[in-house]
Amino acid sequence: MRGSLRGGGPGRSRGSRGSRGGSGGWGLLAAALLAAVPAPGAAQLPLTVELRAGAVYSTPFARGRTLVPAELEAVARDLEVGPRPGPVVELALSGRPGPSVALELRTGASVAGVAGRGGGFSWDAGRVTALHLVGGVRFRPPRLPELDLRFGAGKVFYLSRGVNLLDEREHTGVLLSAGFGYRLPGPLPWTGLAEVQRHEFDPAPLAGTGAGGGAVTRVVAQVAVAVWGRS
Amino acid sequence: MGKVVNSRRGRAPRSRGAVWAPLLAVMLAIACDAPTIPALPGPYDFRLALPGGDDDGRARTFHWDRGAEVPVFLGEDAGADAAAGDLRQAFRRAVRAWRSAAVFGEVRLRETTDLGEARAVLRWHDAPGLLSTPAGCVGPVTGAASTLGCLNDTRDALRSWPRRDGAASRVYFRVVIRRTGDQELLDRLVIHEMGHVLGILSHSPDRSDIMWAGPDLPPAPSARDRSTLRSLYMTPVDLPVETASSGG
Repeated sequence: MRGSLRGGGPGRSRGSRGSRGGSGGWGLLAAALLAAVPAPGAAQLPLTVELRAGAVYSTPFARGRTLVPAELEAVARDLEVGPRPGPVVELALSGRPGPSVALELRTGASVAGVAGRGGGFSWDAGRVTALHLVGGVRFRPPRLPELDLRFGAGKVFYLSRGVNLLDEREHTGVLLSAGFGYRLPGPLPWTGLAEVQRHEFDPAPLAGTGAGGGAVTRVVAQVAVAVWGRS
Repeated sequence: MGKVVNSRRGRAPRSRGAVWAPLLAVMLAIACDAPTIPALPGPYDFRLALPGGDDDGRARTFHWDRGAEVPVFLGEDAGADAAAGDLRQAFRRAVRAWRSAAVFGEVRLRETTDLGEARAVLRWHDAPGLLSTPAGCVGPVTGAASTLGCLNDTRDALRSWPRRDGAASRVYFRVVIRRTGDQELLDRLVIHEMGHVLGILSHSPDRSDIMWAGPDLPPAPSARDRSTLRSLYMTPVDLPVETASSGG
């Protein structure tokens, strides 16, 4: 273990990859759409504000594999690191330009512990806060007035603490989403929501680590309640 | 994500299945792919070869608990002069280097100013010593840097280094660096020694690895160094640390 080290050649600079900016402005685009939709009268574009709360499950940020030396066990083991399931909250602003179409702009946050897993073990690997801003559209199919289909696009923004993979830096990615809502029975204007979100995930520290990232899928289940206007 | 096409064309949907099928298809397409995992070179032997005694020829594996943050105390003069700043800068680079190697959060280093919580001490070779040297683990500092650990009497665990002030110690590694005016060399030496602190208790046979024992270290952990650290933390420990001991 004791080293006897001397010298040191000229340093080789290592390339670094900064976080990709991606195509921003999805949320702003949705806001512009909300503002630009021709509305003959205010009553035809009623605005609704919803509060949403629920839970989010995320696929791993990265996966990898390691080989335990042959003289010990001679096995390959899979590894992964990613957020644990956690709570998510959203604030959504929507307008309805037509009887079966609504446009919405929403922002939300989720906080979760990050776990590493491999070889039958699991360990704490920091915490992340994920913020998102999404613009989207909702379609209400005929004959199913309680149901709507939802599609959106926006940005996700990760803040991390103690997550080696994110190297103490923020990470952003373009987010796409698809899901549905169902108006829950009862006197309150509640809607149950289920959504799948997908965003790119390729932070600079992943380069050259032998870990695969690329994209993360988040499955979100929420209950929404209209706090202003009609849902 | 695939496109979703609205195919109603003015007609009512044929059934509820016509509504759900595209949505389910999109959701399945989103959820069922898997990333390509790049291959890493195989690891080198990270174990400590125990010389002499009944354990002769047996190699032992040590690492910290998975997910652990390992506090390292920089010697008491570390903040006092420009050279100390160099050492701190080198340590911070080592923290980043090994953090980027342990992308699955296996382990991480951090600086502490509290010797009581430190698991390792990093100092210049001529700085005042904070620790007493237990019998059986003394070793001359003959090179530019060294990391020393001590086995307990039964040679089945790492014992802590006693503190000279008599307080309880949880320091298991003492890292000593010879002064140098070459910051780049210093950075590489400290990265190398912190690799030992993290549990790579042997050296790589390949000079392109940061854990190579000879001169001309590379500037950062190589792919094989990363592979070795990853493999180490998936291997069972058979050289644990002893619980805290009082100084003497």
